[in-house]
Amino acid sequence: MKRRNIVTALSAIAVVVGSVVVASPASALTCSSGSACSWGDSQYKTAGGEGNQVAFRYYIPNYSGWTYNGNGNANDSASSVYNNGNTDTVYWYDDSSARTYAFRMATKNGDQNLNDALGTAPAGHNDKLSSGYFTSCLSGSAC
Amino acid sequence: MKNRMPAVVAATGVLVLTALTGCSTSAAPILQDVPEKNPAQWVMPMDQYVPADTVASDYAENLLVQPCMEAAGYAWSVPYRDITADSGPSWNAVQRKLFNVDLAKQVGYHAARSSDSSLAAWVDFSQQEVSPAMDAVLTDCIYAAREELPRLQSDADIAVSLGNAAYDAAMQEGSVKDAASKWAACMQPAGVSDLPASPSEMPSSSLRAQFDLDDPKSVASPEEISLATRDADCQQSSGWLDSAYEEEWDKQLSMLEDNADTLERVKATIEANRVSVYEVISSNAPTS
Repeated sequence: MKRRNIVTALSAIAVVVGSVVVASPASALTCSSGSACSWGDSQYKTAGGEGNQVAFRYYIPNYSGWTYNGNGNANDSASSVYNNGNTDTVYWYDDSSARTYAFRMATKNGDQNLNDALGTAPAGHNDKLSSGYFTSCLSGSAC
Repeated sequence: MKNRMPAVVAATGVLVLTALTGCSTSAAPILQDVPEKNPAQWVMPMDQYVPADTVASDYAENLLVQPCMEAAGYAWSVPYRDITADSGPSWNAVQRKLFNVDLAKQVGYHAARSSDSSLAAWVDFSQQEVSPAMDAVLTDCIYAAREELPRLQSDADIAVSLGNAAYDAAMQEGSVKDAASKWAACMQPAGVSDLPASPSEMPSSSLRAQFDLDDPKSVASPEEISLATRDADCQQSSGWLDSAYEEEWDKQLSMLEDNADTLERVKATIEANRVSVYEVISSNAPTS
C-alpha cells in the first residue's frame, strides 16, 4: 500500500512536469527482479500476454535472436520496456552495435508505451530497439 | 532617437529570425565551447550536453538505499565503486561504441575489457538474488532515495535524441552512401554472405553467429580479428569513416545552434544533479 501511494504521488508529479510516468506495480511482477524486459505491444504485453517478454540480467547485444515467447521476433519491435534491475541503469540502443544509445532507464522504472512522448523514454524509439545493456555490462566481458 | 530606432529594428529582426528559425540568440557563446574534432574518439559537438555520470548516479542511489534496506532487516552492502574509471577503450565518454583498426586488431568486434578494478564486486552485488518480499522493500527504498536524490528525467537526454537524429541524417547523405559503396567493394573478397549496404550495420547477422558475439563470455577468434581488421581498414580506405564523421559533426553543429538555449538549460540541470550525486557519494561511500 505504501508503494502504491508513492507511485500515485509520483504519477501526479509526472502530470505536472510532463516527463515521468511510473509503471504500475503489476507490470513489475511479470518482469523478474534483477531483469530488464521488453514487450512487442504497449502496456507490458505481447499478443495479450504479460509473460510474452524478452528479459535479460546482463545484456542482449542483438534482439534478432530472441522472440517474445514465440510471439514474434524481438528485434525492432519493442513497444514497452521495464527495468526491474536492482542496482543499475539500463541503456537501450536502436542498433545491435550499441552505436548511440536511444535512452537510459533507471531501476524500477518503465515506459508502457514507446509510441508516445509520455513516459520515461523519449519519443521516436517504438519498434526500433535492437540491444540493451545494464550499465555494468558495458565494459567488455565484465558480465 | 537617431540611435534608438536601429536598435529596435535590429532587436525586432532578431526576434523574427528566432521565431522563424528556432535559433537561439545565445548560439555564438555556445559555439565557442564546441570541442575539437577527434574522429578516433568520435567526439561530437553535443557530447557536452549528454549525461555521462550514470555509474555515479547508480552508486549514489544505492548508498542511500543501503540504510533503508538495513532498517527493514535486509543486508544491502554497497561495495566501493571507482567512479573515475571509464568503461574501457571500446567506449567513448558518452557510452558510444568505438570501432577502428587498433581495436579490431585487439578484440575484433568484441568490446575491450575495462580496467575498472571495482567492477567485478559491483557486478556480483548487482546480480545478487532478491526475493519477492525483499524486492518490494527494495523498490520502496529506491523511490524513497529518489525523493532525496532525484534522477535526471528523460528531457535531460535531449542531446542524445538530437544526436540520434543527426546520425540518421548523416547516414542518408550522398557522400556517406558513396563511400559505403566503396567500402562494400573493398569487403567483397571477404565473402560475407549477408554483407550490409553500410558499415554501420556491421557485424552482420551471420558474423554475429559465426563469432559468437551474443555470448557474453566469448572472445575474439583469429578469424574474427582478421575480418574485423579488414572491415576497419576498408572503412578507412573507402573514406566512409571520414565522411560519416564529418557529416554527423556538421548535423550536430547545426542542431546545437538551433537548440542552444534548451541545451544550456539542460546542461545546468545535469551539472546541478552531478553535484548532488557526488555529495552523496562523498558522504556515504565506503573506502576502497
